[in-house]
Amino acid sequence: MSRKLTYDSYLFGAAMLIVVVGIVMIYSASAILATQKFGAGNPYHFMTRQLIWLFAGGAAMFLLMHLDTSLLHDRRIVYSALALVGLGLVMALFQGPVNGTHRWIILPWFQIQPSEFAKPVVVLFIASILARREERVNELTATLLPVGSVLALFAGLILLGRDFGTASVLMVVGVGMIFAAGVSWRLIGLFMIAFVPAAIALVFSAAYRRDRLFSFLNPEADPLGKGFQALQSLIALGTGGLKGLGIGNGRQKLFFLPEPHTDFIFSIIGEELGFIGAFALVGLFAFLVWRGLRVAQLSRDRFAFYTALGLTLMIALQALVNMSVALCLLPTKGIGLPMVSYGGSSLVASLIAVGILLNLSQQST
Amino acid sequence: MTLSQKRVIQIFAVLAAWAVIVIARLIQVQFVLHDHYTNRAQRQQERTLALNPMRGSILDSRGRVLAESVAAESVYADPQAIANRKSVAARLASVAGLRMSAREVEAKLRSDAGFVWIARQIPLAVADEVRKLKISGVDFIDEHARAYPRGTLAANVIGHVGVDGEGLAGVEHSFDSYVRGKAGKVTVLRDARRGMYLVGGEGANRPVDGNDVVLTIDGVVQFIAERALANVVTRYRAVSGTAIVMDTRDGRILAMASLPTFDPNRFGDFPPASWRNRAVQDNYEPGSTFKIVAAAAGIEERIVTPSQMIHCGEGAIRIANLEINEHGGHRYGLLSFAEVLAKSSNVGTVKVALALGDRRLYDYVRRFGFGERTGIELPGEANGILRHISRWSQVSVASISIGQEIGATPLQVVRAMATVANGGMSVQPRIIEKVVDGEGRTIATPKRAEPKRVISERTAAVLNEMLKGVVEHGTGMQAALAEHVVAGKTGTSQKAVRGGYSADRFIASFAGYVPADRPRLAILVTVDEPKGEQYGGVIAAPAFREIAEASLRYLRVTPSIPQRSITVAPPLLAAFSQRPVAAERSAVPDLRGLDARAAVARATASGLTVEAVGSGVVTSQQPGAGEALPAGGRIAIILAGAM
Repeated sequence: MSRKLTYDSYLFGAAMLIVVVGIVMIYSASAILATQKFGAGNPYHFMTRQLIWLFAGGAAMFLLMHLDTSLLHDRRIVYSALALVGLGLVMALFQGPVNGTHRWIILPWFQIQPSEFAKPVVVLFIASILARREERVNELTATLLPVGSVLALFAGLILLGRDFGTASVLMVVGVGMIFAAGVSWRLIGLFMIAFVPAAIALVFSAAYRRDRLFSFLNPEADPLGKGFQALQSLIALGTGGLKGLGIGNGRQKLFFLPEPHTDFIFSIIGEELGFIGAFALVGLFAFLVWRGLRVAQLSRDRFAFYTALGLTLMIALQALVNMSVALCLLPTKGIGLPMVSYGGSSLVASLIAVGILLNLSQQST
Repeated sequence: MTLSQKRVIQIFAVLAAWAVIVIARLIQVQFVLHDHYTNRAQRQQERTLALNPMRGSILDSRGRVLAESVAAESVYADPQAIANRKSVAARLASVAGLRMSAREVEAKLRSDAGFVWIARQIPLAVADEVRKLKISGVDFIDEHARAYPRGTLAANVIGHVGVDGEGLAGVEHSFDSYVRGKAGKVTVLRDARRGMYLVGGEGANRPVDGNDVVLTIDGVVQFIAERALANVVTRYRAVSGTAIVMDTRDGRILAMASLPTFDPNRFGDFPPASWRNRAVQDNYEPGSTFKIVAAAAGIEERIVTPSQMIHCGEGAIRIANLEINEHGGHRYGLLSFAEVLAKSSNVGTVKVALALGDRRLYDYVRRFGFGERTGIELPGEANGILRHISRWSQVSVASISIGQEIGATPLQVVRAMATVANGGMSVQPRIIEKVVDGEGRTIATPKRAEPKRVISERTAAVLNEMLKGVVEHGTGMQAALAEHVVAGKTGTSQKAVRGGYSADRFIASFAGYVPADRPRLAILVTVDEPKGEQYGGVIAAPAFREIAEASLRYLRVTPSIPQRSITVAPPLLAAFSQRPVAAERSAVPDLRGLDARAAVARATASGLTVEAVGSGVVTSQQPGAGEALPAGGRIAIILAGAM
């Protein structure tokens, strides 16, 4: 493929705007936390680290943008990446728990969250299978079994690390891709019958998941206990009103809202930038998703179609889940807002996804 | 369109629907519930702290400080932030200055609240000691403490202040609105770890400091009166007593003493009864001092003249079923009216009163101001007890003429005496000179009634001569001064008990004014239930003399009786200024080891001026402790080091 086309600059612009919002809001949300943890001279601690990750992620994005698309297609590369990520997930399970979860591989200078990388890699894997066996999508052994078992394996590993949110997102992304492949409604019906009771059983099998579910249903019932995070998030958002308190003027980050720079950064955005800011951010994501799906729709080969769809779905789902949690529409999940929340692996994985999307956008008309 | 493309659109629709839900919820939370959550946020994020204003000072007429506010700190704790309450309590209790036991502190720490006071308004030095313990969860607030640098001086007039800065008695109470100032308010942002995070700049209301109240009281005259009163009350083991010194010309109260008294710096250590200002809050039967009213009325109404002879009979007179006897069982026989007053004959006075009749006596009693408040700027003033004429019995006119069956405050009696001194003009007693602001500008001067004529100048002059006679050769001889002619009247009233009068409980009093012919001061001394003696002339008259003599000398009133030799005034001022440090008479106090504030206070209390060099605590002083230094002398101190 030697056609030289330009990548989707709208998609690129939207992603970069979101990244900038993220850097600014991470600083606003974490400056005081940083001075508390690392001394008065270190308000930039979290922002600096995020910027370093941004350079790494940016480099990965540019690399993937300009990579020959056929390399992405290469089964050896996809399977190697899949194996690497799988290994990472297993390694993470043997690391000491952080906040009661086994999500990280702890290295001397930084930590890696393999589950973040698992998402784009699994998307590539499913895309490569579906691209080849699209017309046999309703055949159990040809597509559903291999796709299903890889999905189940990775989601299972992630679940073992006690990261229910990421496992769910991965599952939904995979299911979405299979759905787009044209799986029959009959199979979808069967799947629902099998999966929904299993999901419910899963929710109620672990006490912390059950607690989160109930606190989400009524955060004010136990404002100092299980409903604390949800309520503090709503207070932040509610205080913001139309225009917000002004950037840097938020108060909920003063230790009222836990994790103000990671999972609940959307609440701080709502508090400081108001409805205008929050709505604009939702709009940016919607625009990004639209451009991503447009890449899929306009793509000439099936691999590009499935990859673009899967990656866009991945970003869209994470954003929607994160915002829904902040708005108390879903129980607390531990899913960051892509490209906005503090977290190196998440940022790099998201930028990898954007880089691949941009790459694929070049071959669309 | 392929099936895949259709399905992508379906997926997009689901995502879009989800986004719409998110936005709808965003609108609900950020607009509809905006007020609700803003309210909740404020509740958890903000705390409004009151900023206490500096309460104004109370000064005597010469600017001496009687009450002032000094910087102090209060210690509070957040019990929820303290894990080991027992050990924290023990450590706090180890600070002796807090004067609390570990058990007491622990009881406070056992609270469920996030805030409890440990100690209010403690000296800065004690707070520093607590600070040095560095206990987390224990913090400090700057406050002001009320200090009365002269201790008990004029305590019953000044009153005292509660721990939250509200005036509870005396001028502190009646002029609370002036001295209190206006509290400020500041909204403090709080973080979830209970740290005060930020002081809101624009939302802060600065406190407005209170104004200063200047009294008519002269600290030195007050001191003289209190000393004389204390002497007589102690000597005769009396229950209580009052002394008032009033400027006859304008009603200014120069001294108002009341015993028992208290130290307003630690009023809680004294029984509430000692807080009373008996000179205005208590009624007593004035007894014979009250005879001036009947005498004035008799002369004014031309019923009697001083030289007119009155038959005082066999020492008793019977009206209806009441028999009125002379004090001490005297049988005076025939007396001039002047002698009736000089010897304080009950029978003679009653005869004049009977000739006056109910109506006229009642009118004069009212005109002299009895039965109603004088309107002095002090709280809780009593009306006195004067039954309306329509409810008088047959014997009322007789009883009242000799000061029974009537209740009066000491202040009312001294005003009546001042009326005679003033040539018949009644002046309203006052104790507030003015209210001044921080820059010394007068912002309020209490309104007062115009002087009112009660008796004619001629009657007053006649009565003046008679009252001089009381002191010259009558019952009040012990009130006589070497340098001035005194006019006055003794009083010895039996205390009313259930169903009659006590045979062994008396109130001895002397009311008078001086110098008799150019009056400056009206003075009253009352002594409640003296033991061993009963007569006003014996008990109260010498106290009157002591007050009059020292006050007139202090006020530099030229002697009205030519003096053969010049008497040198005793070092009154020195005695006055040393009062708070009673133990170290005229000696220089030991200031070593005190911090600058305490050292200056101590030296000032001894009437010394301080020159300080350095900071920290006093390491040396010149002259040294114990050396003699005249009042107003200078003492140099060198401060060094931290505490």
